[in-house]
Amino acid sequence: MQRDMGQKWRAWVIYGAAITLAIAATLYFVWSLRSLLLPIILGALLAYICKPLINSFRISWLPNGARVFLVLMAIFLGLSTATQSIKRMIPTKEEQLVLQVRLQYKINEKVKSMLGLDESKKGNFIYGMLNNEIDPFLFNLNHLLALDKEQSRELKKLKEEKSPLLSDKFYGYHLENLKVLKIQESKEHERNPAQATTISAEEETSIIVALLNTLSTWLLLPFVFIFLLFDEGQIEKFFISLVPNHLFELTLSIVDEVDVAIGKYIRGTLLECSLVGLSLGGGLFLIGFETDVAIAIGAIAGLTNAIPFLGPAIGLGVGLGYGLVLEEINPVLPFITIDNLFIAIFICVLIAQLLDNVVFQPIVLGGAVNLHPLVVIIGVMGASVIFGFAGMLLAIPSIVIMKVVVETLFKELKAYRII
Amino acid sequence: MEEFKKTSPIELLLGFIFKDDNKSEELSQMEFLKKTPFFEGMSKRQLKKVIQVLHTRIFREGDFLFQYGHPGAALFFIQSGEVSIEIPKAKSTQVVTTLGENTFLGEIALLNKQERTASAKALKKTKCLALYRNDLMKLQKTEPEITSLFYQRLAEVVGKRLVRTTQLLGQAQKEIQSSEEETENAA
Repeated sequence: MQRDMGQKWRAWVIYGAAITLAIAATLYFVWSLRSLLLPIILGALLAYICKPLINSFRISWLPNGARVFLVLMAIFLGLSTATQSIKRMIPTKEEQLVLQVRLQYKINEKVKSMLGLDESKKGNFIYGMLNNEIDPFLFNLNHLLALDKEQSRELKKLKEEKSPLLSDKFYGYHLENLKVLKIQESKEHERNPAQATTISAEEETSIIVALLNTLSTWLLLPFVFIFLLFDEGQIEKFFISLVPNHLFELTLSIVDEVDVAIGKYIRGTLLECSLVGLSLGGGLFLIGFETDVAIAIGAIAGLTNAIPFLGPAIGLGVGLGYGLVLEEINPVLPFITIDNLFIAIFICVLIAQLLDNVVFQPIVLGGAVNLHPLVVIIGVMGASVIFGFAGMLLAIPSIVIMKVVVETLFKELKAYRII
Repeated sequence: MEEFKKTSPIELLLGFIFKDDNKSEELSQMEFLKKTPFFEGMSKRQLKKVIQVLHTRIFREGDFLFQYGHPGAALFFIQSGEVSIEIPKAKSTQVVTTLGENTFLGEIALLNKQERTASAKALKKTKCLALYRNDLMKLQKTEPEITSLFYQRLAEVVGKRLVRTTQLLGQAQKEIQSSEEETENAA
């Protein structure tokens, strides 16, 4: 039976109002609950990456639940092994104290030699030009790295106990650090008497409350991940069922093409990041870093490589930071010494980035999702302004998804003669 | 005739959230598939796998299942209702055939993305199960037994239709020849 015009009109009004309300409510909730967005998106992303694992089982009679269970078990085993390795690498409280002392001393030493402050108190021409900017920066940096009263007491205790962690040399570093801090404090007091005394009076925030808040938000990630792993295409089928009949085949084609392109991009990025991590880790090992440290820095650089510009900078920062506290090295390459280690670290990061741009990206990702560098810069900066770290991390994948969706949409709309 | 239940998006949404009659829907689909030549001899588990990739579509009278010239993407099994296969002409439409319950159409779309050679229009409210080409290809990776059976049946169907088309073409050529001879004799 044909529907009359009145019925059709009423249906349009009701559906129109329902859709408008749904969009407004969705936007409101997305904005209000934006802190939950990152765990949800990351959970969905992980499920998307793991889905091919579930489909790769060749035992056809194995139920989906059992496949998901096996994959979850494998992930759990992998994570617990990784956690154990990371735990072993995290320094103890005492080791952290000594590292902090060494880092502060080495930074001051490097800065002194760079600015010519070790030979004369006046420094070289760079210091002469920029001392008004350099002094407050060094003052703040030293305050950040300096041990507080409690930590100083613990260090003294280590010295009294003659702990093998704290050699006389390192204790000497601590005494030198105290001297430098005093000199800088007096300089800062001369320059700005009001501010110098107020720096240590920062408000303490409750770490436990902040930790609980973060934990409750991130609890969502495993739930989203497991829920989506169990899904056998019902969610996609539901959304496709809402599409009008004349757009049904078009929607199937678009969803499929976008799925293939995004799958390729995500898995490609994962592989690219792993290769970057591996090459940097290998490079650091060759120039004399311990194997586990080289692996750890490679892993950090690989993980952060997904963030354009910032990723390589983090890799370089961590590498240089560790290079600072090294007293001696055993490099595979004979021409690397402790004096040229900084240059070697810089070259390692440079080679890893060159390999990424010249070899890994073109081979692994191909030209399918090429973005203009300007789009990348504006996208990352804009997203970081609006959504903070989450925005920075997800800016490029989101832009790629939008690009693929728009391109496919136009291509298919033309093929189906809708436009 | 079978009742159509979930038709509006809101009902679909409620059905999705509360999973009201998923089981009965799955059972009716399974019964239907058992009767379809494509799925003859398949086990219950295999049929369940096929159902997971099928899309239920309900067309109102006058709705197009697909249109002439559009790229083909899916095969449609008619669970209930009636569909006419039409070729649009400059000023009219030529109805090629009419298909009813337990038949299927658009099978060439499973082989390639070629443009549809005819339109398919629902003559009354019609319920179909649609199978998308790439879903079948994905199923091939996880369930090669199902897809090899399916493609075997598809080859049989396409083969039979080719034979039928060749016969019709032969008949048409003979008719043209005899009409030409008649015209020559008359002249």
